[in-house]
Amino acid sequence: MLWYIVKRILYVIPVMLGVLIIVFALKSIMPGDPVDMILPTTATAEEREAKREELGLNDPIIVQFVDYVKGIVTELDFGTSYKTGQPVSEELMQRFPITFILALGSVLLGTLLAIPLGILSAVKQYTWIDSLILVISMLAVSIPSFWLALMFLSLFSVELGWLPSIYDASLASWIMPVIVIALSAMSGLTRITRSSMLEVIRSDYIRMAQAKGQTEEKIITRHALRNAMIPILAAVGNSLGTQLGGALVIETIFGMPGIGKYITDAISQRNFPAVQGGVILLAFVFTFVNLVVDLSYTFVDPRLKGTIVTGTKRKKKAAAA
Amino acid sequence: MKNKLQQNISNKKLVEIKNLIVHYETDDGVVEAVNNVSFDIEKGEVLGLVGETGAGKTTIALSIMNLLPKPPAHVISGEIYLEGQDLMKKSKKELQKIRGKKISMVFQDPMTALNPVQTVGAQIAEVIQLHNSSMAPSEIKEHAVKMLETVGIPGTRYNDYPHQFSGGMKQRVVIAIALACEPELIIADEPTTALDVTIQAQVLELMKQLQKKFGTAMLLITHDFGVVADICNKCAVIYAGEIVEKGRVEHIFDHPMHPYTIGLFDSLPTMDKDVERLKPIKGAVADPTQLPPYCSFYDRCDYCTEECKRQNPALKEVEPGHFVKCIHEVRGKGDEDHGAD
Repeated sequence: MLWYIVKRILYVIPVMLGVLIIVFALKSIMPGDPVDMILPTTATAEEREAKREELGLNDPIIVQFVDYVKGIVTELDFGTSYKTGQPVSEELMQRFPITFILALGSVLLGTLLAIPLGILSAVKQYTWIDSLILVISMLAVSIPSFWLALMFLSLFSVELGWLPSIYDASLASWIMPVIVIALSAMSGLTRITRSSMLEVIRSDYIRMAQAKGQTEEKIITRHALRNAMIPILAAVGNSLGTQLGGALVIETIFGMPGIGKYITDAISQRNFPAVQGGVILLAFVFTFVNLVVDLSYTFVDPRLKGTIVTGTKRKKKAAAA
Repeated sequence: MKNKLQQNISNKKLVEIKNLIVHYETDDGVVEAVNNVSFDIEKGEVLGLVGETGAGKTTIALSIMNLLPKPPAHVISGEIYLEGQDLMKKSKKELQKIRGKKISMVFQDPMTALNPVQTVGAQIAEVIQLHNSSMAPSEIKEHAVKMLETVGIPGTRYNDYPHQFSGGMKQRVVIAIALACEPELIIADEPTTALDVTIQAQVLELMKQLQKKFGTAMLLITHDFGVVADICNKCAVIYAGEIVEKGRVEHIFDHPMHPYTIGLFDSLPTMDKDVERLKPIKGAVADPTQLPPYCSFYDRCDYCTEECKRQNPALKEVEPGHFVKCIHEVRGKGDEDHGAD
């Protein structure tokens, strides 16, 4: 198991390199010059040239790439932001927790809503309850989250005055953004829970559990849900990854200083070190989330342990038995 | 409860099924799966239910457990009595107390009958715990280990998962679950069909032994006459959802009287005769969505006459305990060899 985890973490390196290559390629074909953004319009051509030399922008792209990777590997240096002159790593670390908590909180809330709804929908298949849940999740997925966010703002902040409209680090200011994202995450998860449960509750071992005289509630919780969990977990992991990079609109509407907003600003300012740092951080977290999801499968389904636990350990167990 | 038992005259009868009719209502029409089936099983008796795929055998089994998938299944009419009490009138809660405790079931495919994410021990313990709520966890575990050992699996494998077992061992686990609460009746739905031949023999032998040991009555569903000869006392042959012949095993094997039963015996290979080809029953199984108003075996019958098209005959008793659903009193010669394997 440990070896598997180490191996999976090592896989992150080629992924990161791939991501970096793409980001660097984009940077070289992107129109616009960061120097224009940094220096005032009155700056002379010499000043611009000096700045460009200082930032290393005149070097061939390969040299820039190698320098950048070297900086990360040797001293965890992600460069300094063109705009603020602060180290990118520091700026990212200030913003990352906000995005992470927002994504985690909303996906968690979405999952907690989706699993009971999905189960209910599967158990009451083709009844009005099933249809109602279908309508709810259809609505949740089709309403654009920016529109919902604005409606929430006008109702709860402007009309009722219950919740702050702008993020102020208070708990209350988290409520609306988390709910808005949770609703959009919920709809897909509900559908997946429903179809996964439907597949499981038709299987023989469910009938077997009924033949044992087990109650319906316990058949669902003890026998069906755990078997239906793998597709649900995969979708939860995916959704978490998407929300990490995609919470930008909500962050902007609620004025939350998160990573999404940081990267978008950095792109429009051609603030390359910030873009690169942000993308690498997101890619790393995304891969890490996937690893956690993959590992969690083994706790849900004992059959997968055999494929993940290394061969030597299995042999030992076989010998013991 | 005692009164009710006394009310029922035939209290030797453990299970009694009367005029059971079950239909499946699908988009393609109504499937008449079980048509007017009646039979009973006495305490400690083994009844073999023989028929082709789609004859309605499993539907009968699930009706007794009240586990038919509804929809599409509909019980049109019929009564099912267990120890004199009508199971059709029981509430969900009462049925849950009967399932696993009084009646248990061995499923056809052991590969899918066990929950893949629970240890086999936990799955045996579950049924014990359900019907013995006063038992301490340690006692439950002890009993579950004992059940594993009863079916020939070492108790040390209690914490193993189903995927670590072979098909035959999984079926043993399923049998252990079925026997754990010492039920009155076990419904075994083709318990050996999914297993290979050597394992079939082992599992069958095990079931036979345990049936004798516990004195449990059994409804054995199969399409294999060899299995019937091996462990059954009585036998019912089912065709297109109807019992066409039932009686003691000796009746059926010595002189089958329904053309369908005779046809089934004729189509079996024999050991003492060297034949080039087997003799199949001509035609195909009657379409259960379009059963004729007359004898459903008419199209395939070697003995049919004009008279057969005028009515759908009822089961009639041709000798004590031997019932045949045919107007002709054909007397086929059974082959004792079939019983020998």
